[in-house]
Amino acid sequence: MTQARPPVEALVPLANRSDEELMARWVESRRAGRPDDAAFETLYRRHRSATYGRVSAVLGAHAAHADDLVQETWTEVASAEAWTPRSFRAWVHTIATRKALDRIARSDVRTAASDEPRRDGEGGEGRTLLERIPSGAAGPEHDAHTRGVARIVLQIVAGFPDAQKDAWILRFVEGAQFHEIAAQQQVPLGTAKTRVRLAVEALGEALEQRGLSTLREAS
Amino acid sequence: VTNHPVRDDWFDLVEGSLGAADAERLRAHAAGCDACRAALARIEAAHRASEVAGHALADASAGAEPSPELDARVLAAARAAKSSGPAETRRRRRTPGAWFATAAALAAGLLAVVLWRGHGHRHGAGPFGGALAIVAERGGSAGEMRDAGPTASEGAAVAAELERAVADGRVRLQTAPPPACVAGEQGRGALVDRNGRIRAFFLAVDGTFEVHLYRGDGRPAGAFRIDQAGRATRVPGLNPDTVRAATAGPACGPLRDR
Repeated sequence: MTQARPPVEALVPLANRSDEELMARWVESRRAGRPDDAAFETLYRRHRSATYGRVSAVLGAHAAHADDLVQETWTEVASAEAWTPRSFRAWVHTIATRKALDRIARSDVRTAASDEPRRDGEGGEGRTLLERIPSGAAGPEHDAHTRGVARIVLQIVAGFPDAQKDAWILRFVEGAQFHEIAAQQQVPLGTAKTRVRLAVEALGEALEQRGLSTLREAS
Repeated sequence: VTNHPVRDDWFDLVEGSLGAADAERLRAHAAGCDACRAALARIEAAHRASEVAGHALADASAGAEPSPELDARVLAAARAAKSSGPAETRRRRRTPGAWFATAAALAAGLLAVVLWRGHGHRHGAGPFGGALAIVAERGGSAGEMRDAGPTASEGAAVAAELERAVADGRVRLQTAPPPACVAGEQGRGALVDRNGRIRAFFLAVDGTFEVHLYRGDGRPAGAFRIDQAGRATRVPGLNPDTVRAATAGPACGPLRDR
């Protein structure tokens, strides 16, 4: 009598498995009461730098909070009750980004004054902050100004409802298409598109209130 | 009459998802319409700002490395999470059956069949949409929507607020089983707030939707028809003489007057 061989699937090393397979394995193993620590650690090692970098980038000058938020992000991953097929990378990056934005929205983390972009009439030759970013340009001033724009946009987005916030992150930070956002958020395509649209509209209103949205050159 | 483009059109335009002819038509309209030109400028600015911020964030995310201490903390936290996870999961998870049972029980609260008295109600100080959002956020209670009788002019606000409420996740659109009926027609879906209270339900009518709205006490507050462009108008056929409003439950029991 021959000894039963393990299924071929079981012989594939963890390092060769997709993120999504590993996550499914982690969730299922936890549910079965035998957590597969190696699967989780493989996932973490793959994405640790990216999630840390993302959180640090959102926090800017307040990156001292990064460690706590990275830990919170991965604790949320580890505690997931279920896993439905979608991009793990986009999922975990969205969690990390949202947590960092939420921290920005709280009173204990505010944008440093030096991060604020200049407004019209503050040396910008009468143009808006958006216009003062030449496409394809480089250099310290360009970089600083871009960071300023990003900082103020992130502050505004931080106040959006989570569903809109996540849709905005997926669209503009992760570069997801609408059907990918729908899959990621497990909503119909129209809902995903609406969430992004509402976020953009709300951002437009907020920028306008701050005097930052006029696209015309000042005369 | 000038047909102004709707918000979706401007968004599609800045997303670049319109054909050349449609894009040209919209830009031509904006060139001759101050309000639309301002709307387009606003959404273009916001879209551009989103792209700038998104790219800046993605670029700035590279090259950072967490410390070994953080690695150890994260992995230890994951191990700690697993010990209590499954039990909590079992306690918190609601089965679909339990959800529908809850929904059905709450829907039973709507069993009182009433005549729609929309024309006779006084209209509240605030837009109905705002009231709906407040009720949805707070979980709702009887009487909160008592002054929320919608007017036809508020129809667009109702439609927009419903759209936002669903998009934001403040309320969910629940589909089968049909939770309510109007004039014998089965509802296609219902807006259920976080406490399981039905706030509105939809009927498909000739390619459009009818939205029937309820006050916190479960009484109908009015009905609007929303066309495919998102415009809402009061449903013309619904008046106190012809509409027998709502009953609840999958079986849609016999309609009764009150």
